[in-house]
Amino acid sequence: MASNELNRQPQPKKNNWFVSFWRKPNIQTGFRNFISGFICIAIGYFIALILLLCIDAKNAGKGIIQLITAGWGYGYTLDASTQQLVFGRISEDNLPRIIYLMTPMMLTGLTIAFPFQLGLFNIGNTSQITIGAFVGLCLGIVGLPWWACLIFAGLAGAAVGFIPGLLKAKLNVNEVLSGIMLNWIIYYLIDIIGRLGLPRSFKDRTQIDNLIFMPNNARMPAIGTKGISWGLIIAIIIIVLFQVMLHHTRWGKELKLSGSNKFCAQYAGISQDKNIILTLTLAGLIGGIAGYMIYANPISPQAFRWSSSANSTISDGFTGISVSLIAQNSAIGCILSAFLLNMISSAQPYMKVVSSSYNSYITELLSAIIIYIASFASFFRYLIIRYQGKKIEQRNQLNLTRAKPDETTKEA
Amino acid sequence: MIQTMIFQPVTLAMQAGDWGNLLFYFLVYSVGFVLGAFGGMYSECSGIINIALEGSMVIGAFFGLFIDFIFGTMDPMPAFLTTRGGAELVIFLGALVAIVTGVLFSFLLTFVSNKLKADQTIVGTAMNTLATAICSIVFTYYTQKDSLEVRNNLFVTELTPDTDNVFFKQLASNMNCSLVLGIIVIALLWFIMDRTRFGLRLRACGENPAAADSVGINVTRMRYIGPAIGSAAAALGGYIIFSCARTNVWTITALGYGFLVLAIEILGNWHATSIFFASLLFGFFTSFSNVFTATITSTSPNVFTIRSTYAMLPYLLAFLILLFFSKRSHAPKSEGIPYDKSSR
Repeated sequence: MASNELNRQPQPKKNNWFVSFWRKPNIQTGFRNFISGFICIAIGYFIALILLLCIDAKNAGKGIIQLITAGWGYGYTLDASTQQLVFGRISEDNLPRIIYLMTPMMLTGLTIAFPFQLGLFNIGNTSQITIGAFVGLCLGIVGLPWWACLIFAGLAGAAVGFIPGLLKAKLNVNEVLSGIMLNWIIYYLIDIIGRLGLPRSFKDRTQIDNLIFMPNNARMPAIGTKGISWGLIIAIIIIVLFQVMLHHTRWGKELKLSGSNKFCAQYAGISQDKNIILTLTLAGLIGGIAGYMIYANPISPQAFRWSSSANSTISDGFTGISVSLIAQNSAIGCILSAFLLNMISSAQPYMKVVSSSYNSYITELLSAIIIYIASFASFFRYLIIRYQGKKIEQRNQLNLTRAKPDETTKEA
Repeated sequence: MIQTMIFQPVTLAMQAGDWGNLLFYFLVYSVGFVLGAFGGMYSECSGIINIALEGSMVIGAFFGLFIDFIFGTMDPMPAFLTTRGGAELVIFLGALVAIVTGVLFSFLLTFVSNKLKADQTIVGTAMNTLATAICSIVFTYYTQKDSLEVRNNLFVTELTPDTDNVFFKQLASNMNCSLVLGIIVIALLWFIMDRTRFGLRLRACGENPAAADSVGINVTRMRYIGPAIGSAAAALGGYIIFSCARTNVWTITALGYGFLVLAIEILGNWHATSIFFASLLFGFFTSFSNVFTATITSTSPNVFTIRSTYAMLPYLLAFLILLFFSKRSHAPKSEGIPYDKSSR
């Protein structure tokens, strides 16, 4: 009847596919993480620009451009004939080098980012990485193929990661401290095993402090000739798996709940002990795999330094902390963050060309400043949420929204 | 094979010089660790978790040694700097500079923790990297070279006593006035925390900041002062350890002593006397691992003849004690939680 059509309330239009996708909580959280990370990086570069101006004001502009582009293979070089700085291609090998250095770093970042969803700071990842590298190398020297080395390295890392998890769950030992103590215990333990137990054939002939390089059949198979290996694909698959697991499966959501409100999770029936132990063991597994990958590059592997001399410290795990901080503790972000850190540090040899007072430690300072600012990036997320809330309020007042129920400013 | 690695007769043969060496390193490490642990205690009792003690040690050691470096490599060298008095004056100046840089470094942590309510563990870890980077930049800018090795034996000839007694010579060479300053500062810090009103108020801010605020204590100001004192103490401790070390050069790194100091502070249950004795124990083991190479001999290499066993012992001990004593720890109840007046 005609009156039915006249009495029907005007229905709001349905949201189109992009708006309803964009307003999902997961997507919004990811977007905010990305933007706040980007703000940290921008502020870091800005402070580096100020520093470059203080050191040598004339070449500061060229210096900051060199910092940004040298990782990609383009930058300033000194033209011999005119003694001027010209912008051109400086290296073909920078980008592949960044990619093969990035491969293990992504996973070391994941060892910190993944337990962080539960509120645990897995600072013991250095021990997991070191023992994974040691076990992987020893098995590789003995003669196992690369996939066996990978699996056993992961298992060794998982065994070492199990210890802080068990202690935290059962005895309430702070995982930061037990992790730090384990770092040093494993470091010296490897030294003791190296001095007493390792056969002479394992050690490098000229540099007795190092083990020999990984034998060829234990290195990862290569893609192309520049050093990129199958490890990249394995690492990306692992990261994507963890991202999907954290945000789209039930166990992942249980972990996130336990991280944000432990008591609510307990009352919902989620076993905290099991989750803590399982999370740290999984983080150890990833750490072990990362450790193996650092020393198993097909073209130019690193040498594993087993001895603990007076001036050496362990820093493999702390790069993981850096990666995870810049990535705002998200799994996918570790890929980009590892790329950024390697991009900055590969600009290091090219800074001296721009001006002789720029030394190589400017890149290190830039990384450190970005990491420091990233450590309080929750403040930038708060600012973004406030800004988004204001925009939503303005739109509500002007009544320009489409369907309202998708709207959210809450953190997922 | 395990039997030959562990169960072997070892002989410990220490001569007078070795005892002097051991006592020297024991003093140096103990004073350094006590200062670092007191530093951690001051900041945590006021409510701010300070993981950046390692960074404070690096910054304090570097800027103190930097002052020594500037004065020691002056060209031409003034006459009074070649006497013992002049050397001690420069080292004292270095210690003061270390304290000041420690205070300034702590503001990086406290501003972010109090104002922006950041996660203090993470900021502290990030500051450790930042400390090394800052020191590298300053040093390479000043020396215009790319090497990071700071010479820390600049006044060795002035600080060596000319006696024939080997024990005394090993004990007192390279010992300088910063050690005495460290001992005075330890006594002062213990007195302030245990016996004055200020120390009680500091502890109150960490245990129950709402109650402290209701009495009229400015909790935010305490949370700036506590880590400032703490970071200054850790910086002085770092300077003492690395300026009294008998190596020629010091590469800009803290060798993990900052984290050992954190463990000492937690083992000491945040009480000054317990921390003191815990750091004496750790100082003994660390010094023994430095000294023992000439003293322990055995028929074949085994676990006890390796330096790493003794270097590992403090960490192993800390780990085992953490296992058994974590249930009874008296951590300040509100540490790590940013104070919000509106939540009272």
